Amino acid sequence: MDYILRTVNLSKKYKEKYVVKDVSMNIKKGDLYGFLGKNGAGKTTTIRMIMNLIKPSSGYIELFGKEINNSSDIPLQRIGSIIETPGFYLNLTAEENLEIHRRLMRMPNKSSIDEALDMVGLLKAKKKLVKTFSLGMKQRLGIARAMLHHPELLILDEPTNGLDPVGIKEIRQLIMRLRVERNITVLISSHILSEVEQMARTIGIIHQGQLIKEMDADSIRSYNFQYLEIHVDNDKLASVVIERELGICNYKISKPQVIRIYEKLDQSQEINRALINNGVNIRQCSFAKASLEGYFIKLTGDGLNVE
Amino acid sequence: MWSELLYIEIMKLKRSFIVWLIFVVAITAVTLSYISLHLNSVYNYIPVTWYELLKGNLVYLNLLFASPVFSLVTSYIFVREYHDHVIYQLFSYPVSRVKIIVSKLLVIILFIMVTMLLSFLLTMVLGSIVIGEYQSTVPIHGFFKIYVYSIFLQLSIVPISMLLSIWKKSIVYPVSITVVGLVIVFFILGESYDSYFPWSAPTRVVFELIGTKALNVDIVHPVIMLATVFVVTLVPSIFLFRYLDNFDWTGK
Repeated sequence: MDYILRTVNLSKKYKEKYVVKDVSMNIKKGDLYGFLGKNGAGKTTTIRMIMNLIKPSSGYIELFGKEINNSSDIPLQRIGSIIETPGFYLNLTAEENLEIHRRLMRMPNKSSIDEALDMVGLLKAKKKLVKTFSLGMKQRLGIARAMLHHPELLILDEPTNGLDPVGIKEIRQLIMRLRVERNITVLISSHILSEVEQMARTIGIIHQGQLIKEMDADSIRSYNFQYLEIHVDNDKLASVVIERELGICNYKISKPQVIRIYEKLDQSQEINRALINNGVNIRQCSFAKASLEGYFIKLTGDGLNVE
Repeated sequence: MWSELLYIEIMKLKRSFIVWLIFVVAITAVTLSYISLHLNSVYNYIPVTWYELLKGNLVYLNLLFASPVFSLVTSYIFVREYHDHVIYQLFSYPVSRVKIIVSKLLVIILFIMVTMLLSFLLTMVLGSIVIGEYQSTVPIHGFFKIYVYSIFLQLSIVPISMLLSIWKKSIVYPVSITVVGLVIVFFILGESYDSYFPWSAPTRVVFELIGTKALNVDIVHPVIMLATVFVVTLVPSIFLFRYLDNFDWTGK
């Protein structure tokens, strides 16, 4: 497998407390990896270690197939990043901010600035001081800066933080478009589940410093399905009817007197009729949707922000 | 690469109020120097001389303005990158942190140099207008040398502000410490131990140089003291700049 980024048992300990513990992420080339976790779960600390902003207490990082042993090993020119809030020199224009980036990244071509600004729709604002920019514009400018030197890996730490729903949608579409157009690998961290769910092809869920699940797009989709939830007075009798009379195997008793049926959902009337005819009293019957959020809650015992 | 880094650091100060401080300090020092001498000539009939004008300017610069202003400039250059969340971006470039901190130090040196030399130039212009042709027991190049030495004297205490700025990520601490230091200077200046206090040592050296009109005076102790301060505060500044985020200083 061609991995752009791997972390192997990556840990960070402050004093005696682990902020990140044994995180092993695997990001394939061309992937859009959603790094999902609540605030304080350890997302930013992990990203900071990847970017060599802080040193891991243990474990190691592989970037572009090479193990990183010291800071000079990190191919920073192949990585674009926004770590936490996209920071800028507020007294400078958008163009001047990108000029600093261009020079520090040793990009010879000055036209790359206009290209990057055009890509995020900020070309007309290039002479404006960044202090006059809205948060959404700053986020887009941050992405322009991260993309200016044509990186192969884009690392975005909470890029939609503080944005309104329209701004979130804009940034989401921009990231998805860039991934396809530029053929880059994207690592995006977020505490907003719906955002990650809509974009990511792979999701890593971090909770209390530990990566508790890593799953691909197919698995994600499997957590987005409908089911029929029936509240009955006798779940044992109901399960006999469901299996023997209706021939349904894909069901479960989720809790006492509550049955979830995952197949033959177009036959809900027949299911109801069969149960009633066999002496099962139905208290409630409704369609419901399982989601990644439900899965997340199951994994962590806690909810996420669903915006 | 160094010229590129220096250019970038200067570019970051574009449209910044900090740049105006060069002119404010240079003009204020020479103006205060002239006003005090003018009042002395009006009330005590002591004429304004080139020697007193240049000496007054040097004293105002070193005693009153240099340390608080250069402390403010130093902390602004370092702290604003933490404050504006640019620091992580800066550290994600293929440039070592040591080079970044040295390039910032070079900008501060440049700032001090321009301030001192501009103030010298303005004093010369003002002297030419109000006094006339240069006449003094101390030759112009003698005074010019003292201005140049002042650059290094003031530079030697800059890492104190650097250290506090990087450590505390706040302008308040370095500027407050400097102001407190200056207040203490007013109490101890002239005492035998003022050579061993970082904020009075530069003024002490300048006083020695002006007073004796020569360079071969006993300025060894304050100079050694300032050199020690420079090294002792610069080394941990570099260390903290490189590794601060690896420690849990805040206890969070």
